Amino acid sequence: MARRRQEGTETKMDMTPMIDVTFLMIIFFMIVSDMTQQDLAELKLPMAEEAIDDEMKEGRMIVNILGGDLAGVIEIKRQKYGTLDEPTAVQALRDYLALEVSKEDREEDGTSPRPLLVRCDQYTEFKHVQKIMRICGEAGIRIYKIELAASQNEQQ
Amino acid sequence: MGRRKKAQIEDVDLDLTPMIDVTFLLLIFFICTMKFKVLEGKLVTNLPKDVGVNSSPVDDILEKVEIDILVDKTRSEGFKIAINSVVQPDIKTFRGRVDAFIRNDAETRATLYPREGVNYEQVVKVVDQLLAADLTDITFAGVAFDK
Repeated sequence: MARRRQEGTETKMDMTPMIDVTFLMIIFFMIVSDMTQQDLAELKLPMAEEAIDDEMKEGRMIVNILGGDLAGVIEIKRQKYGTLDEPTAVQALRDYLALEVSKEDREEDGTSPRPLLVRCDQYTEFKHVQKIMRICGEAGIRIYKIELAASQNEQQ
Repeated sequence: MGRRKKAQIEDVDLDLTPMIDVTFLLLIFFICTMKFKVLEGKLVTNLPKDVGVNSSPVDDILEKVEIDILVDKTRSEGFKIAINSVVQPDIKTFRGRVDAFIRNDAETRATLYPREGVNYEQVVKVVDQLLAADLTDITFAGVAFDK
């Protein structure tokens, strides 16, 4: 009888260390992962010695231009819109820039003080960036500060 | 009676399963969305602000450098640079010319004309050289504002 009772007893596992470790891992990932980088598409950027540090401010304007098979396709906030030869992509870019520009007061000459960060794959033709620049110059947008994204030397 | 109550209280076990489930879901979320900080910088440039005809006399005094970037497959770097329509033999000579402009006038402005077929990397290389020579007033041509 005594043996049977022993077999029937439930063995409880102590979950506390596992929960501790799990919480520690969550805290680690929360610190390491940077939410401001969510808008950055995976691109191969050209190296530039004179590239200054990007402050990675939240809410900054970023337009990605993809390379390879998707050369010229623009990506804004993780959404692909096609190349700027397509009217829907042009309209999406216009809407995005106009909305972002409206969030801050304009300068005396009517231009927007906010910079636009253009991230383009290194082998993609520059004409795609120029198309974005042309849209930046349109009435209602008027962005003149353009920042070209580049990789920094690791030794810097 | 008192003993019974104590025994009842001791028996209450907190069910940790939902909390562990949620914790693991959070962990999976962070693992999936995590991106390590990348070494990325930026090169600051401008677009022309002028609308229509510019009658400002200040621009005429300042020295302007017009830089054409053209595709040239015969060169190892795949492109050539021309300063005020004079083609530069290589990027070092180009840098030397830009340095000379800056020595002559520290407020020299550069206007870039990237031509058909030039890629992003080539333009960044040119902008990088200009910034290295302390020429910070860089404007891209051909994108004037609407009237």
